[in-house]
Amino acid sequence: MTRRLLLATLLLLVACKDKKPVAAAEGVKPTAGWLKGELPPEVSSGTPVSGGTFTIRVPSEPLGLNRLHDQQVEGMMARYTVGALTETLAELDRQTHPNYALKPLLAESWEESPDHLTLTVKLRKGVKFHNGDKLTSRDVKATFDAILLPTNLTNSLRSNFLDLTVAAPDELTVVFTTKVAHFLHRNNVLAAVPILPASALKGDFNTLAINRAPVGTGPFRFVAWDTGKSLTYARNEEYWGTKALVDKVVIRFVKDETVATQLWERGEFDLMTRIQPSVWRSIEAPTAADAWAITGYHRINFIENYYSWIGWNQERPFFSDARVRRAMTMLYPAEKVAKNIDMDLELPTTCPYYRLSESCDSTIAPIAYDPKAARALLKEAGWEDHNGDGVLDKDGVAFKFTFLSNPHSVKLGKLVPLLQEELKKAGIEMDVEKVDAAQYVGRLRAHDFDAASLGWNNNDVNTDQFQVYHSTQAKGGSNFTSYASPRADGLIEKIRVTFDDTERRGLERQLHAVLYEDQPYTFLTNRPQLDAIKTHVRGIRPSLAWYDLRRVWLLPPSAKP
Amino acid sequence: MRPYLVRRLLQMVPTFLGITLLTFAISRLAPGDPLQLDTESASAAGQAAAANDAFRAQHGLDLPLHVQYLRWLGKILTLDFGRSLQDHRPVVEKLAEALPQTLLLASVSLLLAYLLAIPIGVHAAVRPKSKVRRGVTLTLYLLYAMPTFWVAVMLLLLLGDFFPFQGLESSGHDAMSLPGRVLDTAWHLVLPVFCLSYPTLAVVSRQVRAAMTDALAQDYVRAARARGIPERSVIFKHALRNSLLPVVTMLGLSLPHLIGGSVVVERVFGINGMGLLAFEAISLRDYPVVMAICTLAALVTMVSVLVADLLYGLADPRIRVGAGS
Amino acid sequence: MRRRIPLRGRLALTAVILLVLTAVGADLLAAHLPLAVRVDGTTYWLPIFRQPVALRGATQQQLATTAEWIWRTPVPWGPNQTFAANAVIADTPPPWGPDLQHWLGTDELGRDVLARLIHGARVSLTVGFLSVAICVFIGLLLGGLAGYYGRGVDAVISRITEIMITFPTLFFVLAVLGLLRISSLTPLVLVIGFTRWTDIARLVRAEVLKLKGLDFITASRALGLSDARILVRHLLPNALSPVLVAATFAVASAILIESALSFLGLGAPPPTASWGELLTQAHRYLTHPGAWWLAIFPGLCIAVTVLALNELGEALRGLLDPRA
Repeated sequence: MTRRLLLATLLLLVACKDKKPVAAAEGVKPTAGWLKGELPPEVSSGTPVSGGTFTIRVPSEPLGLNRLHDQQVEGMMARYTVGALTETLAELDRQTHPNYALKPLLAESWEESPDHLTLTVKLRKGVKFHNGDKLTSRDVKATFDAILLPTNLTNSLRSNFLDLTVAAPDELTVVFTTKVAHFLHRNNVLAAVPILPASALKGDFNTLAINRAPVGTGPFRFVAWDTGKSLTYARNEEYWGTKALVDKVVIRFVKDETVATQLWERGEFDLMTRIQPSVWRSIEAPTAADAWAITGYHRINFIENYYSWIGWNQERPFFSDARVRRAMTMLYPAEKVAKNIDMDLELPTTCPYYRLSESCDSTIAPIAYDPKAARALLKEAGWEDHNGDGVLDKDGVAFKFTFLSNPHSVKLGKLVPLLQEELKKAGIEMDVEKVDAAQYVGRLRAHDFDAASLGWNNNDVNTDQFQVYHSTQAKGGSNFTSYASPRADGLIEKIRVTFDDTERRGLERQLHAVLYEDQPYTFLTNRPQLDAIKTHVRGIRPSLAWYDLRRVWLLPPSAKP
Repeated sequence: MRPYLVRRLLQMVPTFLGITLLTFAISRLAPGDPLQLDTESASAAGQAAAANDAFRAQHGLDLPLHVQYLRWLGKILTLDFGRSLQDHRPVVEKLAEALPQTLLLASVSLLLAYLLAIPIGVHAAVRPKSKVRRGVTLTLYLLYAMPTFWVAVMLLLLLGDFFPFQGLESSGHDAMSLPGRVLDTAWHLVLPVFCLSYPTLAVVSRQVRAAMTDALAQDYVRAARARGIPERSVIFKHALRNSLLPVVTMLGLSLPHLIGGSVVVERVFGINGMGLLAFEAISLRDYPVVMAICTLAALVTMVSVLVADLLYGLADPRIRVGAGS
Repeated sequence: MRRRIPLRGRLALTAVILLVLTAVGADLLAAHLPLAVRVDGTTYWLPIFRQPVALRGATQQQLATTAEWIWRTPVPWGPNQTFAANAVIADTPPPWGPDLQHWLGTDELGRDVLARLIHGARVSLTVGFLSVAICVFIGLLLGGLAGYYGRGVDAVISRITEIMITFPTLFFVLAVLGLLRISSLTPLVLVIGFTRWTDIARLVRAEVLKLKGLDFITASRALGLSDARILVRHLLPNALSPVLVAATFAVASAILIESALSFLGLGAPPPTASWGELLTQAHRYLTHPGAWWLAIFPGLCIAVTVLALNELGEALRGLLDPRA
């Protein structure tokens, strides 16, 4: 009797929870711009006023706040520290999207020698660090020295600099000399490295005080890091340039997506980042309960310079043939994934460059899902069911391989069962191996896998594909699939030394075409940035360099949004 | 007594060494790299041999395993637990951040469970036929069969609108007054404490009932009743006191949970406690943190077992410890 | 004297037997291929076991349209049949709630929940029974040795037991799962088996200690029987009753552990269906779209299984315990 009562109460409570869509309140209808995730023009207009605290939600807490350190830089950390707390010599000019020219920041001017081997930089006068130190060439040299020291864990930056020497002939001049000309060298030197004070870089690189309490020249000062909860910045009143507008910035670490959504619903963030695709879509057909999303927030849908991929290890017998790799791409159910998992928010791509740049050949269309054509290609490559057991084979070897499942990404993990099913229909057996996060990259580096999936991110519009696609990078670089194509190699090498933008972009389009033909990866999608800002936030605009926190200002509560 | 104590304390040493050695061996033999890098950056993913080697050398990860273990042992004898391999903060700092949360959660759960279990058990023993008792026992029995993480998820599903989803504090916590803060934390504690306490409640109330039923059937109780002592006194002063012993020893054995925390509950409710710290440390191969937590857990468990045994021996003359065992 | 098994015990036994049958016959209850079908003039019997080439990649739904006759499984979905295999693409993405097609709804990849629950039973019961088998074996061995030989052997084994009790299981699990690159249930079984034998060992030791001093043992020794013989033939069988009771409870406990590990993502590799894994998804989809079907049903399965096993253990204890 009690048991029945219990069950009944349980079911009753659950039934009440099952919200059926209720007609939204009068006048609450999303505009076309809101649905697309475009910011309305009023966000960039108005007379800026000072004041307020700007709260941002980020999905994970970094291990430290030093951009130079490999263990600490992850995902978004570089975005909210560099530019806010620390500054680079030059910055990407957000106004020139999508080409992003360089704009002077800590450097007043620079001069590149005609052979592109020497870069002379003149520093701005009168810049001070948050700890009172004056910015001089010594600080720039110390920062670069820390990066270049082979025993420091700074590989994410160091690998960008080939044979670099830094000299500080006088207080405000720095000379960067390299022996290898490279088109990205200038951008890397000027825009990728935040300048830290020399005094703070002394000592054991792993236990520097600035790893936990950063010091820079930026428009915001570090105030506190409440471990596990939030990071607080305050406006730097001694900033060398135009002071920031908001008084404080609070960055809140909320890892769990469900909790983050709930807190967002309560209006606890001014800027909500990494909204889940399912949530993004569900608020488009609003119920009375979530009409707040339309009235209280603007949405931002901005495509990032990130692409996900499935890598086929070309050292394994199955995937050494480009036809097989192409067939695998044809067997990937792209449309079904797009509709049911990505909710049409991720954009399929075939290009390793930024989608909106001219480096991608826009005439190239993604390879369509075509099991019949795939089977024909496999047959051409010698893979047929010779022994009638339902599994393709060649020379007595059955087409049976293992997919290394990605533990870092829920989405990439979901692909696995889908792919398994599709491949089974085509006569290919795919097993799945699950390793935990500590092993994944190690396995990839050791090329100890048949197939794996990952994604590459870049905060700059220009990318050097050397590390990922050049044949020499199969040992020690990021060419995990051991892709080796003389044509691609040649193009990559040429691109590296082509300084004329238009010419280089033409070469990059050619590289795109070669990669399309060879399919070293099955290119999956470009990921969008799905954010939302409260309607009272102004001066915010998405870009590859993220949001410019100097320009953000908040409409005072008294004014109407 | 003294020789028994000394003997037990000496026995703890090989056990402690055994546990730490086993943990050390397993965590080091497991494949994986403590160097966790940004997996979305192609430049970070490439190898940097010199830096990796330096990292290994600096933390002694390239030495033979037995040497590493002995070095670690030597360090902890001076209470130096080293630094985390992830963020290079002293391990003690990380433990100090996680421990209070787990302690709070676990102690409140334990206290609540025992405070409720004793009256429920007594009532069940004294009035075995009552409908209320049947209902309560049945509910507890059913709850016991349900996995903790399921109950946690179901609670969030059903009551997520009323109770906070995560953590032990709301956003404005620090700005609140003292009573405000206490209330805020208490509100956050409701769901996780429920999940942690109901299994203990089920088991302990059963224990109490069994012990009380036994005690109430004893001759001395009948004699006390015959002497005219009021029923209330009989139950609480005589029977209960004698049946509390096993309960108290059980409480002693629950001490390790105060330190260990529950990974599942902490994960579901977003509480950054010891359970989650241990889980992440293992996942990230953060050996110093792993070893420190293991040491702490082992010490607490061994001490609590010893205390429980001593209590039992002290109170029950039939189980005199040390003599002829 | 024959004791009557109470009603609860009989119900529990029935439940456990049903669960075992479900686990064993999972492929007959829920599969992507039918029990029998006649297509293009050929009849296929139990194709899920035979895996005929002609039906490779086919599903019951597809075959239903082209077959001459078809004998479907009670649940016409396989546990790994994702939305990709279905012809219909709905307006909203999965997980989809219960409807006429999917009686208990689907998971995030459109796989039928009921089918996954049925196959999940297989995982849970396999891990439960196999790991407890290991526990019992180790427990009998170590407990028997400790009780019989006493002193030195007992001291060493007691230390080992203490270490195992104090050792945090989670460490062991994570490490072993990393060490063994076998993508199957084996690591789980091994880990649970190797860490949970302590209760049984203690029990066996106590029993052996009790019986060691009895006359018939002294007599056997006087007759010159080897120690091993005495242990295996005479002492251990008497310890089996309490061990059986403990083992039944241990299976319930092992199933709880397995589901907790699956919940944490450490369980069986994808795409294996597991009750705990479905609960992980439930946690992920708690608010959008509020997938209660992913939360309630798997949890109920675990709870009912554990309850049945506990009840069975209690009934066995009532039956076998001479003191009762």
